[in-house]
Amino acid sequence: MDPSIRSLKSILSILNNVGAIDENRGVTLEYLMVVLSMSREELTSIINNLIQLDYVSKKADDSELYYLTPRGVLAASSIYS
Amino acid sequence: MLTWEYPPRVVGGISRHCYELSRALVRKGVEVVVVTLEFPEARSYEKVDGVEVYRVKVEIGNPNFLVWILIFNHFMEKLSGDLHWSKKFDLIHVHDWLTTIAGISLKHSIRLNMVLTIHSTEIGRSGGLFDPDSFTKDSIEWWGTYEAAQVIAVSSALRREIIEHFKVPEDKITAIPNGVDTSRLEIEVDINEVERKYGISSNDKIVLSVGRLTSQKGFQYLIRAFPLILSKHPSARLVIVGDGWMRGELERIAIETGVRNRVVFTGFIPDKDLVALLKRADVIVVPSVYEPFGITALEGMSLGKPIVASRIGGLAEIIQHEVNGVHVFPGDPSSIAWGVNRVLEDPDFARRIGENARKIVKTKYEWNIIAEKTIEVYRKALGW
Repeated sequence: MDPSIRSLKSILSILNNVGAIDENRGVTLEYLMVVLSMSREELTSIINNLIQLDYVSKKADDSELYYLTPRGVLAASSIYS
Repeated sequence: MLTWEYPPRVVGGISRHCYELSRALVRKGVEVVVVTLEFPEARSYEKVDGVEVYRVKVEIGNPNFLVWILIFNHFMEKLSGDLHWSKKFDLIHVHDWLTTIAGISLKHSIRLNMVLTIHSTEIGRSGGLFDPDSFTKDSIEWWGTYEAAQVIAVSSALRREIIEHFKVPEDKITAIPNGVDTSRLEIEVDINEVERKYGISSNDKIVLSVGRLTSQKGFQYLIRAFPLILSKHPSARLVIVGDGWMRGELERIAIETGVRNRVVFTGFIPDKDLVALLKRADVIVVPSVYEPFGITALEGMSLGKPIVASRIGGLAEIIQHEVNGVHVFPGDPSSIAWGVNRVLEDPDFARRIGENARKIVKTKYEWNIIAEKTIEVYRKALGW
């Protein structure tokens, strides 16, 4: 599998599994960097891609929290079924 | 009824299955309480057509998939156990391995028999057991078949697979197919509106495919088949309905094969739009490489549409080649292209197989029939 697709799946999966499914339960980029052992640049690029796909959203304040949109929850769920 | 998927969480067939089965069971006089996972903006409790639906909030998480499964099973078990004191359940019905652990724990804590419906197996989904997580899922599936009083498989092919792989006694497992709610598909739709919405021209020959965008569903082979279809039918347009982790990869394949401008990815769409697209389709393709059942095929068949489907699993049972559909080889773009071209080139043939398909759905795959068969399994499980 293409490494970028593997990373994309991992991010969707982790956001789902930690319960980051609404803006009040979002997680920071720093948290994802630690869990995924990924650089900020690499992670930011994939997160931006996921935002473009409307799978991920960023909380609309300065807390920098990321969470799955309803569409993102469905995409993450597709990994498991 | 424990299920991780229930509308609005509609990812695969389990959600639709549980939704339709629970409503059909209520119509037959069974009281059904569904316990499922939370979903953004969905209510934690609602009553839908007589079915009580509780959505569990998973209070803690973990990045690891299997740990997350164990955690949400705990919350499902906790809520179901609490509900039992007021509702006095008679039976636990769990769907697939994802909720099996909660079902087994409940079976022992509140001392009720359990029925397990298996919609697919890990060994089938993954084409083998290749990593530690797969072995764990496989073990949970086995454990579920061992603990259940009765097991339901959604096709005869899957029943056989379960008997052979998990050594389940033949009298403990029943094949009950999925059904289709034909009334859901009989609604009035505006074809012109849906054409405009998804950029379809009235002259386009629509090749429609619906499902989760995952490798198991085989969309990659359908897209690779599309240049061969376009070479014979330049007005063909491939419409792929659904979403999933593989979407970016599929879009890349469409670009690589030079057909991106003839492929529409709709993502998840409202039910009404799906019905309109099913009605508008010239042919419906189910290119799966593993498919224990194949609800999409059934929905298309109930509308009298010609179906081109991989000859595997449940699809091999539902469809009779050249009688009520066309079989193609799974994972083979040239075979898929042959099947689609066969239908598009011969409108009389397309009409004939579509009409035969519609008849078979009416007699075998109505949810009321499936609910009756499920109640029979409940009786066996309860010793009634």
